[in-house]
Amino acid sequence: MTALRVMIVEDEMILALDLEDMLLDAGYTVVGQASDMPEALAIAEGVGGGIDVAIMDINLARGSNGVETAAALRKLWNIPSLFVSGNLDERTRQMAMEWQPIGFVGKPYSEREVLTVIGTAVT
Amino acid sequence: MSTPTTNFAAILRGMPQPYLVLDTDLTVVGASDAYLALTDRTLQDIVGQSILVAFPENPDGQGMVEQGPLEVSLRHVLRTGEPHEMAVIQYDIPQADGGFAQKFWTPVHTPVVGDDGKIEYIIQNPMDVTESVLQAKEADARLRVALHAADLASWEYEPETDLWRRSQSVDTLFGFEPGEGGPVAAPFFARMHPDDLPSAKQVVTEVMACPDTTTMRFDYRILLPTGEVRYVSSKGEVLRTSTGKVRMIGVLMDVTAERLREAELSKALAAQADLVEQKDLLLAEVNHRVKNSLQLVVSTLRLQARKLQEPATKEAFDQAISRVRAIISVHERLYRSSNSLSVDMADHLTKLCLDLVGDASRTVIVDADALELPTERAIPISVVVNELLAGALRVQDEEKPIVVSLKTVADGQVELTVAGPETLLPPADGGLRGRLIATMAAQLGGMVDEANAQDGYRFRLAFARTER
Repeated sequence: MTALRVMIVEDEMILALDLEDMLLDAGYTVVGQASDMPEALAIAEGVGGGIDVAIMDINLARGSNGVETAAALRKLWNIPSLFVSGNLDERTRQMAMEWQPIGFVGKPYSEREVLTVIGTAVT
Repeated sequence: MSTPTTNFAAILRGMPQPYLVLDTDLTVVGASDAYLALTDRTLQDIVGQSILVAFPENPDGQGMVEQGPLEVSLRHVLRTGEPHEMAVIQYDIPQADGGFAQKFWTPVHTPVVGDDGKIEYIIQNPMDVTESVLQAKEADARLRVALHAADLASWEYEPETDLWRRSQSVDTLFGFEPGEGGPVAAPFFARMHPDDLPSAKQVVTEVMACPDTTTMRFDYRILLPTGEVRYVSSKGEVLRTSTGKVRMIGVLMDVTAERLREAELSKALAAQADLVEQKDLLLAEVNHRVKNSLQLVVSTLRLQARKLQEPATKEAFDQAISRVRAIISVHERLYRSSNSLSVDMADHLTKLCLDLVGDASRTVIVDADALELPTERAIPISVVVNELLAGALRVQDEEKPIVVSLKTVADGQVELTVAGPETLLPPADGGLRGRLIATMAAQLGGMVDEANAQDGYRFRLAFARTER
């Protein structure tokens, strides 16, 4: 079995580093880190859509939006997202649901929460 | 053969009722003696004169004496060829001495058609109702006082002729000077707000069409020539003559001040709603920022901890991270309930315990009531649970499950119980674990009750649900 390929879409670099360490320790492959939607699409494009899951913040850098980014990833390469955000109100969740995310984890998150949900993507 | 001649002039003169005959120019052509007696005039006084000249308006009673409605009625008969029965009008009669006698009438105007089918004459049959009107004066006076006290203007409207009689205050409301408004409603309709005019006309049309309607209501705006807008509310009753003709009688009230107040009130309410919405958005934003910053704290600590090699330092770091997480994880469970922020304790404790157990194959059972607590209560509980469990979970090869329960007991008291192996018991070495538990219990104003028996250790903390 090849390791799950994860892209981190998070504009807060410290959190992105923490997530990267966490994922590497758990044996996953981190494909790349993006701070906004264009970067995320460029990374996905670069690996020909070879990403199993995107860890997705809601508020991204330069005004771009995690739900829209998740939508694009799902539509272009059928990449699912795991939303990790401090901004998961009902309306946001509802809009995000349309793109069949593998889950939602609120901030502050624990390693356990993130890894448990990521684990469900390994099938 | 000679045609028998009939002296119709004599017949007219001798008619036992008061009759006045006008031609189509409204010029008097004849009258019965009864009419002359009633009005105290001679034929010479009036024949050949317009009725409006022969019976001039009483200059003392301007605005009260009603030549306008009389003319409207007569012209209506000429136009329609139908008889018209007027409501009571005041029409004072000039006296020989130059003065006027106050008179009230209910004239009926009937057209007389010539051989060619065209109207040639109008016969006026005035009923002198002065006596009954004067008798009703006291009642009228009472009505006027009542109307005045209620700041109401009164009106009377006949849709058939557009005759519009009203108290002076109606003219004032519509911005007309005394005498400027005229006898018909058209100039008044012209000052109604164009958006309201159709509904006012609709009410009139419906009243005319439906014989069962007895009351009506109009609410409309008046556009004054100055550009000012006046809001009025009008209520009325429908009267029907024996021939089914409709007359409406009603009152009119200026409700501008009320409407403006309402408008200001709803503006204030809208502004308030905007502020509340802004506040909610800001609160959500602050909440989001706080969560993000707390996440940064934990992530920074974790980044550093992962680089550590020395086991004792790593252990100390893990403890610190666990303590910080116990505090900040409360914020992830914060949500708005009515006016304050609360923490769903069952949800919070379940997640906290799962995080604490981590990969360890240990059983922690959480048994919590559906309970919401403010953050200042939730944080100390969270810290206590972390201190008790963190120590116990570090001990390997322990099979005994740990049970964490949070229950509402009597009198607004809440009880936290943590039971399980002896390893839950903090070492009595004055270390940080014991001190933190004691301090948090004190902050909650709670009572600690510990029991260490054969079957294990039990920690119990009872405290008030809200700060006193």
